[in-house]
Amino acid sequence: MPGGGKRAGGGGACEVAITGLGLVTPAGIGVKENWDRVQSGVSCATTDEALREAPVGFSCRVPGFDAEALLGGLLSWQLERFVQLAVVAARQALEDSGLEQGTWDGTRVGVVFGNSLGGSSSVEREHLALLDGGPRKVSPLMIPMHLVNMVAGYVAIDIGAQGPSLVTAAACASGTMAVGIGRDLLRAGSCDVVVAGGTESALTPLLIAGFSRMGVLSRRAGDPGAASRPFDAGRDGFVAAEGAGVLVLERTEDAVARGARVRGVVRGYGCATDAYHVSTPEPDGQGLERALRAALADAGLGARDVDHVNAHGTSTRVNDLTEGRVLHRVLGDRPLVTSTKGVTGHPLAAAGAIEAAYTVLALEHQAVPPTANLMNLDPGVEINVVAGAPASAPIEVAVTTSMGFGGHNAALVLSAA
Amino acid sequence: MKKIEARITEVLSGKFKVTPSAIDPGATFANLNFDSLATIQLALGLEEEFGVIIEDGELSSLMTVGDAAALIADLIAAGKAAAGKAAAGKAAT
Repeated sequence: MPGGGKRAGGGGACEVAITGLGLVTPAGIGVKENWDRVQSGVSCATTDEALREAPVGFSCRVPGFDAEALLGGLLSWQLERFVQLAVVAARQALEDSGLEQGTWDGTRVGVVFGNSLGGSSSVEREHLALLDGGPRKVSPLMIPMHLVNMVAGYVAIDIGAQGPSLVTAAACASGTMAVGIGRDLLRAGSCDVVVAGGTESALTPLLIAGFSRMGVLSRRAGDPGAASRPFDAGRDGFVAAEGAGVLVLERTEDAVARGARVRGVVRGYGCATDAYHVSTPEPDGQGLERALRAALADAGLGARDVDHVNAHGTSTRVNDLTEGRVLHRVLGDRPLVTSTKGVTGHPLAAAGAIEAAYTVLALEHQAVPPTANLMNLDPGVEINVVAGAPASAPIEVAVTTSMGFGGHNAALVLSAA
Repeated sequence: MKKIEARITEVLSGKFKVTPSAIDPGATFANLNFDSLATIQLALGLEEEFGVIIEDGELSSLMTVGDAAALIADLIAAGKAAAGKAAAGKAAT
């Protein structure tokens, strides 16, 4: 990195590298497919037949995800979709990293995934079976299909990872926390590789009804493609999405020693809690501010070092205003900000991991994707949000932020290799 | 019996997505990668297909497709016998 001024590590702790990426999102199956789509700035939201009886009948689904073709017949019905998406993304990320089951000590490989809603559709389905036929008609697979931890459990089975494994459940901050905690496991020496990610697939009529009753979903049914419009003055809520993102993490010295391609570096991580309300962010965004400042301090970097922010930017009235004010207060108006949720919709617990991967790609390509549908910046948001077309600029250090129901806030500071 | 085996094969390949070429009367469900939980799920699928009740433990992953066909044939016969008895009882009253 030219100048080297931004390379100072946080507290002398070992540096952690990102050596593999995997993405299965509404923007496509595969890293290149995703990057091309988010750079296009065209939203993935579309009418959703499965939600025709839900109060909001559009969403962002992973296009053409054929579980039987990708995972085989048995896994197509024995795994819930949130696990299927994660397994495919984890396989992509491992292949990208050059690591392979059988060539490593599995006891030193960890798995950390963000998830929030688990296999909700299996519970809904089996509840109907219970009402219809009584308890003996309930599937013995309902519990393993429903458990949120099963994504870590099954990815571990799939790749032979026998080190630490867990799920971070912090609503829409889950994926960011998974990457941060994965980094911490490596720093603590608990393992040598962490497959860190986030996944969610909860596009059922019941859950959409629940989100709708909270008033957080866009109602722009006449034009779903224009519904997710982060930071735009005309935004009216988020578009529910599904997806999975995975990053392979290793200590940089280990990655370099095995000749791996270092795609990015996790420079800092911070998290903080509002302790304010179950769904409304603290109005001043103090929780997010503390998470962001903690991540910068962890990285040993200052606000002026940040060139790019992949914001949480959900397209709800409250989130974007609160987050915009925090970003302005902490980072000023210099960094190029985007919300890729304009393209992908809001993949809930998967969002942080997917957006961390997009941030790595922005660092690699030295380009920031446009925020889809941003026509008129909310006058209350005084930050430099990229709209219309990708912005090319020197990007050495980037931040990605997440906020979740429950008042969970998390931020990562990433840099190029 | 052959008809029942063919219908089990259809259930395995249709609902349970098993590759048809892997299924033969001598294959155990364990051979087809059904663990104990998946085998209970299969029992529910076969109950639906044949209109019988397979009690817990009657179908195991160590059974072959042929064994399952014999079990189902017995259950169908027992069901018919029970229905016949019930009908006869009703007629007698």
